Amino acid sequence: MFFSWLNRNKHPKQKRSLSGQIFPFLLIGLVALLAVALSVKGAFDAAETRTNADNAADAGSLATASILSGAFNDLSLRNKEMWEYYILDRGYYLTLYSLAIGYLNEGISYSQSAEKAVKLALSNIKTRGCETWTWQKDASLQLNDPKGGINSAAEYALEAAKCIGAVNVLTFYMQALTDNFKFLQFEKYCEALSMMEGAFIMGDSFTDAESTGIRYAFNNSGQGGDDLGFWLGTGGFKNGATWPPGADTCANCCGITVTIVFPALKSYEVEHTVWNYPKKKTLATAAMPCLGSGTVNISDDPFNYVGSFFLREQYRDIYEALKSAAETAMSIYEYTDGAHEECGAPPDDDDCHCDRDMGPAKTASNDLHTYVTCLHNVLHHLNNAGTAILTMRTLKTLNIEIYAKVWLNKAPTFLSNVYSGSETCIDVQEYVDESEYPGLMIRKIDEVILTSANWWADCTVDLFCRSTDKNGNVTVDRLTAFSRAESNIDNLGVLRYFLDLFDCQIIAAG
Amino acid sequence: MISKIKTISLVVFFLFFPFILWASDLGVPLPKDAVKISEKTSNFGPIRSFTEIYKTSLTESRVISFYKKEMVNAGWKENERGVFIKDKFIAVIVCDSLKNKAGGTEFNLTVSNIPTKEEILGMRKDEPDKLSYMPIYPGSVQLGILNLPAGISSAYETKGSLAEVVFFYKTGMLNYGWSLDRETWSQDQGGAVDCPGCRKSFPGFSAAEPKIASSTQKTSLVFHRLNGGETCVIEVSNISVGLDGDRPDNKKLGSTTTIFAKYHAYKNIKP
Repeated sequence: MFFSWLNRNKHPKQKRSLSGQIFPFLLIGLVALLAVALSVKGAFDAAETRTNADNAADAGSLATASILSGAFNDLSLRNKEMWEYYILDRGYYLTLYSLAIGYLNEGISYSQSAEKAVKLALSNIKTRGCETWTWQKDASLQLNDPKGGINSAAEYALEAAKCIGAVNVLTFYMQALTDNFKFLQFEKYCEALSMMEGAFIMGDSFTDAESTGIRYAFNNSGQGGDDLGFWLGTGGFKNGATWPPGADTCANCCGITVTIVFPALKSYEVEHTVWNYPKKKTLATAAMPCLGSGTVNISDDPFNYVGSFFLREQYRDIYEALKSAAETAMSIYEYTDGAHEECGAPPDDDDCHCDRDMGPAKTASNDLHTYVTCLHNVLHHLNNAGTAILTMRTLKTLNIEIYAKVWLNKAPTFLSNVYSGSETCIDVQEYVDESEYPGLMIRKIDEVILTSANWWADCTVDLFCRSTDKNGNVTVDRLTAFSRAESNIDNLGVLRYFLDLFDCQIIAAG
Repeated sequence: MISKIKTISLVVFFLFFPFILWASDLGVPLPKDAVKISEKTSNFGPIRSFTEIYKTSLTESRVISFYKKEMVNAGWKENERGVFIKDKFIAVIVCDSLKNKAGGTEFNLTVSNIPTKEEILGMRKDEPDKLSYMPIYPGSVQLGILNLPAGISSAYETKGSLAEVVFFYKTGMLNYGWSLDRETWSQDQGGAVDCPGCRKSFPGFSAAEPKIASSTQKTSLVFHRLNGGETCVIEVSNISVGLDGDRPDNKKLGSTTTIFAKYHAYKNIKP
């Protein structure tokens, strides 16, 4: 039709041009243009699809790596804080501990002086016959002798009581400080654990990293609309998910699949101290029968707060007892001194009679001797008893041991797989609280090791169209994009340098 | 006039900022390349501590050697490893390597005053401080109180019996919004010993030679408050001494009770 129209209108000899001659050329041009446009659009669509796929893969890998880098940076910060708390609180504890040792040394010295003074006084309080009144004067003189005597012993005992009282206050500070440290360290450890436990059970930060990567990949794929947004919002997708759901099995449709791969954590170490506390120990108090006090066991007293409190009370009781003994001695002195003046000479009869009955003085001095002997035995016991008895020496030994094992030494680290990967912070708390388990006064986290030698996050985006012919044969056209983001770690997967900043960047695409 | 103001300002400055004076006046040496990372002041009753954390390129053992030598040169006497005494001050140096890419060591230098035992004992208060989170057992004496990043610890002593104190806290804490999580109780009965002096105190005692028996009892109360993850642990310990036997008036010769309260709240305070 077109060519017949052209023939009809082709009049080369005519002077005038026939109308519409350009039309065929225009038409040809338009067709050609259309063909070119269609061809360009096809190429453009293909390029756009390719770009979208690449964008999706890049966004997925970078988002995944970013989340994990953030988590590791957070872990680094926690670890740094834990370490700083450790050396800070250890410095405070060492100060309190050293002061306590100083007061214990001073107290031990006072206690020894008290024992010596009582011994000296005893040598002058002898049980004798009627001549009691003659030596009693000497004994009473010993009361205020600075080198010895009951009054001096009492003052020494009071100073010892003050020393152990100061130690008692310091044990309170030491326990409160250690409590505080343990609480904070555990809190920080739990925060770090919430990230790391995902390494084993794919939870928390690891799940976050995976799901965020998938969301970013889909959102940057140029696919879908509100439906895709809703689907991603529900969070009901898994790694390797396909949009729209079922596209990977339908007869004639197109879809997109996103897969995220990254290394997990293999293990991490928790550096902890040798002792968990309270350490089970029992101290028996020294019996003081002359003061109405029997022996008793003190247990579940990790920093000897109750023990030092009781020991302070014992030395106060000894002080009161010595003061009381000194008053008794002075009364005997005054009685016998009066007799001396009245009689002028020692009584020579068996009943100790001169003008004054000396019998009560004899009985009183014998009782005093028994009493002071008992006090001497108590002081001797407190100064020389073994480590199972509550004394200042024992407290000194335990104080040194507590500092060494609770603060100073570190136990061999243990790996997180102690927990089998399924335990939470609450489960771990049992290890911290229970005295049955060694350690777990946490110093810091260390040696976080990945399952891979390198640190990376891969994202693969697979665009596909499925078509099925009459015979049921399925043809799948695919376009695959890949991207790898890597974090700036130079130690082949061992995240031991906790002061690094883990920045991530895309290092490969395809 | 101006010089007067200057003098007053200096006096006020040194009165209220004694740590600054210490830090500059105590002459604690530092490795040449030491860089200060952080500093902090803390009070433990009458013990005032000033802490600085430094970073140096020296290894841990070199830092220890440095202080062992230089502190003695500066007039300090080494008391034990890492602990130095000078006049009424105590300085402790804590080194503990933190693995880090750059190497080197970070160390902690803490300088504190040394209080007398009377100053420490002087912190006792017959009228304890009021606390917003728990009641105080009436008639108890406050031994000490510490406000720390994770919470507050306080200690008291009282002549009240264990049962009275425990009852007081189990009921009183309800008014402060606490719920009792768990309660644990333990007792340790000591052996009976002769008590010659007890006959005088208890003339009606029939035994020829009275015996006394001592016991310790401890109750731990753990409370929690739902709003904000707070916990409060109150440990009450009692040591009592009484006559051995089944006398109806078996009254105690002596009884002392200590109360140790630990309040923890998440504060997230950085060191």
